[in-house]
Amino acid sequence: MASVTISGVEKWFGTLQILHGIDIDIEDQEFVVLVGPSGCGKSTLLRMIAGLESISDGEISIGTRMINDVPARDRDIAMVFQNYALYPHMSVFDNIGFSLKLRKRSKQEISEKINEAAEILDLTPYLERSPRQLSGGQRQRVAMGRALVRDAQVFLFDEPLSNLDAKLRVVMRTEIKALHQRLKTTSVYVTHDQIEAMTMADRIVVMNKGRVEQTGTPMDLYDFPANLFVADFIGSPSMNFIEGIVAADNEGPFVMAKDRTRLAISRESSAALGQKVVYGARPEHLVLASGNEGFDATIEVIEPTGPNIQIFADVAGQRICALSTERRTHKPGQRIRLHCPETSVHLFDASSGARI
Amino acid sequence: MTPKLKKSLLYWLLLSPLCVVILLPFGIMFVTALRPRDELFVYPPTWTFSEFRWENFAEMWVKTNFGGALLNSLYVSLTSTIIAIVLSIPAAYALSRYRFSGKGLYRNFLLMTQMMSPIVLVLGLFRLMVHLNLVNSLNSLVVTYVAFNMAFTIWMLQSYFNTIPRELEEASWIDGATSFTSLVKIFLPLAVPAMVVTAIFTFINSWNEFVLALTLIRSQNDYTLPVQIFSQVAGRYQVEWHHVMAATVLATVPVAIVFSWLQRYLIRGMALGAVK
Amino acid sequence: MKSRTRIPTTPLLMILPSFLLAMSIIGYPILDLAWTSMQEVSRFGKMMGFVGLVNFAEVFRDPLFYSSLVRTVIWTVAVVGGTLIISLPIAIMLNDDFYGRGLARVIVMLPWAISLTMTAVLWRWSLNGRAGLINATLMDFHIITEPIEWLATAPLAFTVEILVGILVSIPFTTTIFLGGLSSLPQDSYEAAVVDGAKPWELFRYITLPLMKPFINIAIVLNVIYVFNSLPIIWVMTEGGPANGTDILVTYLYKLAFRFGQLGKASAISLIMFSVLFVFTIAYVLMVMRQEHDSADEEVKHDA
Ligand SMILES: Nc1ncnc2c1ncn2[C@@H]1O[C@H](COP(=O)(O)OP(=O)(O)OP(=O)(O)O)[C@@H](O)[C@H]1O
Ligand SMILES: [Mg+2]
Repeated sequence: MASVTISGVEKWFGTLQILHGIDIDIEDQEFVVLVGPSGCGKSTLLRMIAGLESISDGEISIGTRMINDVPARDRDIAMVFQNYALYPHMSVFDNIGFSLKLRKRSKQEISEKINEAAEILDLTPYLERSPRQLSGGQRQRVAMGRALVRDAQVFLFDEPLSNLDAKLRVVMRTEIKALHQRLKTTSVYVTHDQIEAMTMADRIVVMNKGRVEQTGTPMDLYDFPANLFVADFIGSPSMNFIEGIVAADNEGPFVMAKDRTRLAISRESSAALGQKVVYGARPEHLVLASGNEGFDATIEVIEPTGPNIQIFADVAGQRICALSTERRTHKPGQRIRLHCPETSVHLFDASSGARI
Repeated sequence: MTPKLKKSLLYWLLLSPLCVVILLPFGIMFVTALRPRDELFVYPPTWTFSEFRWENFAEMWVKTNFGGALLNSLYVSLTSTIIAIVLSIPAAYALSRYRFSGKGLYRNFLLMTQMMSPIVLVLGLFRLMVHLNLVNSLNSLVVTYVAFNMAFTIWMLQSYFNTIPRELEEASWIDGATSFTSLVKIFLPLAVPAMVVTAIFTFINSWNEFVLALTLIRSQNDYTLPVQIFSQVAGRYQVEWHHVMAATVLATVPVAIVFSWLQRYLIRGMALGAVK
Repeated sequence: MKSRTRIPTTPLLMILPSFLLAMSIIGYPILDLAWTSMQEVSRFGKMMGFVGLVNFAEVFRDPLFYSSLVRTVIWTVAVVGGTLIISLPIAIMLNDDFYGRGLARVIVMLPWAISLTMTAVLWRWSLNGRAGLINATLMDFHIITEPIEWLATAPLAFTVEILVGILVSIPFTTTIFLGGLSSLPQDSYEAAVVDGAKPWELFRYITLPLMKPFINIAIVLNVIYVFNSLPIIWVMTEGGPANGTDILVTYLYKLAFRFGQLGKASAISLIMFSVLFVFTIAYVLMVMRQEHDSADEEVKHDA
């Protein structure tokens, strides 16, 4: 097991730059999730760690060894592919054991290791089958098994769950996490699903357009998103944004939205008067208020999800979403007041998008 | 009557004229190959004949030197197929797996060579073979068949190679395989069906070729089957039609059976590559 | 550019052998033909000196060249046109599910498996005026009373050859169409059926427009193949009687290998080569445009 250091890494495809100087330090035994919208370069970065793409500039090290020019087979990494990449002409047993066979381990050691991995992954009854005869979840497990027997320094995962149905995805998510807690192998996991990222990661790296937007623990990213992109990307349903200008009156500072709606902010906020900002509030922080606390909203749509009721309402000409656990029946068209505690408000500079 | 049955009857009715026209000459081929010589030219001509003369085949084999021509055809078709496949595999692999400058150009070049028919170049080819001292050698056919088939084999192989996920090779590299091991243990086993199908089509193409064989081979001993059979018909006052038809049966039926069995692969290849 | 990608020599090495072979076997003869066409050449292939365009001038003064040219145009247009008109409905039927479809496919594809030479030999015998069983069959059904000498007069022989040409071109064309039909999006049909389209309207407004690229490709490829096709005419009539069924390829072959007029034959080869070249360029452009379109679609699909 080892740490992974990525410094100043760039990727060019011909004249097209895909990665613009990536710096990430992954500690030994850490489970890091790379997350970001489609096409932002997550897979490319992962494949560069794996040795499947050349590194145009910068350095990647595993442990203390710089691996830029080390071929994939000598990097001592294991990888689980999105489509599993199981060898269709080999049985499950041979699929899992292929790497050991290439390393010329003894027959006995190979079968011991395969059986052990099969035990962990509940694959024992399927060892003689060919990949064609397995369900999606079982194939996924075989791909995991192939990584498991390796005792590799680093595990790489490229959206390993995206081909599974929603239920199985949740199950496998927990299994992979449990596996990591048991083996403690340094892992880099790529996904575009922020819930997967939140639930599995020790640390999340949010990427966008070939750049790292923010790195931190799931809760850090959730509570203190560094910019509008991260704030929008992390959390579901995602954060509500209302544009406005910072103003103050005798009740304290506030953000004035376009239609002069008053959105209160904390007295400690470092936003300057007159600054153009974006006011952000997570749906679960918006509560139904009474009296003159908060601001006016007109209900447009109600969506019950079971544990919650999602209330979509018009505030200052923009549609926002609030979560309510109250079973009270609201109706579209109804006017309500919503309130977000000042300490839960996120403020971003309107032009740079950076957190204030 | 179910709708499907109704439809089937209608379709078969529409297809039947074509089927008759296609099958008729084959029927004629069989009844001619099997009838006694003196029943060839009777007036009025009739389908019926007095006895099945299986000896026609044996006679024909000796008289037309069928065995020799068969061996020549086998030699030329097998050798050119093997060489074409061996040269095409790396090219198809490169087209399917690498990005490189000149790739588009090379593909267009292949398309052009596919369009160039032997007949337009036949005079130039003949002179080339004279220079190389290959006229009258079966190898002149081997070389030209390889060249004229290569565009097809590369295209066909490439469209199948494209269906083998690149990740399989990548996974094997990560598992510790060298490029060579990966090729031998992962890629080639998966590509075998494609190679077999392509090889068979190439074989059939070479087997059936006429113009080059007619031009580049001058001595009777080196004739391939199509030329040999043609020579039994062309420029003779007395054509032994029952022998010609017996030879045609032997030369076409095996190929037709193999082809019929494989034609769905060709259709699939067309769908995959959309005639690229 | 900061790219540090190595110059990829591996793929170039991999395509090199096939490239060199194609270049020498297909490229060299073209140059040789161009060279020969501007030489005076003896019967035995000896170059007698540079004569410029004399051979071409001779070709353009030759009435047989013109009659062959006209017949080539008739031959190509008739065979390609006939093939397309017959192949499209056949492909549509073979693409549909019906009892015995597998057998029907095998029968329709059969002529492709047989070499043109053999097919032509078979027809030459079947159409034999004295003993041919085509005559026997027609007489059995009382369609004719006397045997017909199918191949003895040029117009009738040429017509018959065109029909055989169509017959042998159907399998390839049908295969292209089947490939095209199987790639048509099923949902457009379902949508149209829901919209109330009748079978004929489905064909007119969905199948035909979507099949257009495949029809274009079939036209160009068939033109190229048919234009070049020697065996049928050569085996059935050898361009006779009295040059009455000669097309350019048979005339060229006679000039080169019977009459030993190598200079003139090279000139005709070169003229044919240029015609072919134009069609090939058309084909390449067509394929490239189709690839371009499908690449566009993929991008849209991704977004
Ligand atoms: N071989 C290549 N040549 C040119 N561009 C490429 C190549 N491979 C990837 N790209 C481009 O690089 C960008 C990043 O691709 P990448 O596969 O890393 O995205 P991703 O973040 O994994 O997206 P997804 O979530 O959809 O998998 C994309 O815009 C893609 O088009
Ligand atoms: Mg990806």
